[in-house]
Amino acid sequence: MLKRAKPSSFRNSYNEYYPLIFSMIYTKTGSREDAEDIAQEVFIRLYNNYDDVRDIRNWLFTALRFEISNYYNKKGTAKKDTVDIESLGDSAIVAIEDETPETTIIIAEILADKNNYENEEERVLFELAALYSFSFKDVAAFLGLTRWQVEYRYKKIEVKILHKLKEKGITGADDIL
Amino acid sequence: MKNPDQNKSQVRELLQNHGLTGNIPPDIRSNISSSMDKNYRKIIKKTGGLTLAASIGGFIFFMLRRIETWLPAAKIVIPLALVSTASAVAIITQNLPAPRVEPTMLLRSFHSATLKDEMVEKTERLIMTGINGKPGELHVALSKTGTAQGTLPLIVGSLERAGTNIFITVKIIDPLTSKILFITETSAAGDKELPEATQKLAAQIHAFWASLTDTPHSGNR
Repeated sequence: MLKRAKPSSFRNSYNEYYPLIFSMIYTKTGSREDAEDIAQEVFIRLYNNYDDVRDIRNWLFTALRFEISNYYNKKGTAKKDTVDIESLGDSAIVAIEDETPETTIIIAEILADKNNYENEEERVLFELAALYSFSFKDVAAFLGLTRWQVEYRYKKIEVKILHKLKEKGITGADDIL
Repeated sequence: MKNPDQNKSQVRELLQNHGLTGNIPPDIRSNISSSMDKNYRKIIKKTGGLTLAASIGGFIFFMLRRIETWLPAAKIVIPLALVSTASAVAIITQNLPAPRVEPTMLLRSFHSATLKDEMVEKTERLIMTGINGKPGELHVALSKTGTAQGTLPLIVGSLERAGTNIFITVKIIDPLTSKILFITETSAAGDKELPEATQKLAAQIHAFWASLTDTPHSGNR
């Protein structure tokens, strides 16, 4: 990814990733206040390093791990022991663990395949709608698109993913196709 | 009427069956939009952009008020000047380079299933003190290798007791790739030997550190 020249595009990155980052943190912590605080710290860190960040997605997910750990260290609570920080990997997939069944890992890998998405915006769009149940209308508002644009792109990605799932013999995909 | 998100729910069902979805309550989802702008303002405020603009604006405002007392025409000039200044500050603030914050500490997270938290924290402190007299230097060294791009290196460790022995493992991880850059382990025959064991670990990490830099490190040992 090309290096961004000006921090003014920080706002665009914020709009694109905030809902995703917030949702990931909320899924892990179950607390709206904690999720807002941690997301804020993550984006402050991004702002401060914006000129040097090449891959915003990877950078944000890495910073996320640190900030969750930092947050609970600062608060001095035992909550960090119940938050699986390591599973906040370089993807928005929310439940990959060591004991995850092979089928689930294959699905996660297919979802993480960059070829499914024409650009990063499409990837965020799909993750918000499919993984976190945001409505097309909400996703459209976050990304500055129309609801119909979101639905069109979502369906396009969905078809690609479902075909790949079918190729891998994932059960349950046939019904959808 | 067709449910606009009907297709989405079908694919979501598959993901849900495999535990790949996050559970965000509807009220939380609907509040994200409204909280986004508020949180953005907080971020900009904390990073100093608004503070700078407010300071400059306030300074100009009070200076112009003083001029107004002895120059009546300033009543017209002042509002114009204020609007122009506010616009200029907004443009300047948007285009200012982000302030560089150099890393000042190494983030670490030690854990243990068999030892008390106080013991883990004490050992963690001993190791970190031994490793790094000047926090941040390890990050600089790692940056030179091109492994840490704008992120801090992560030092993680574990302590486990088996009988009277305590086993300590320390890893240095490149957070960008999750690759383990260095791993070392040692054991202490008992609690009293723990400080000595942590010094051994620190020395080994120093050796790794020195291998990343052109010149030998001169920190604590």
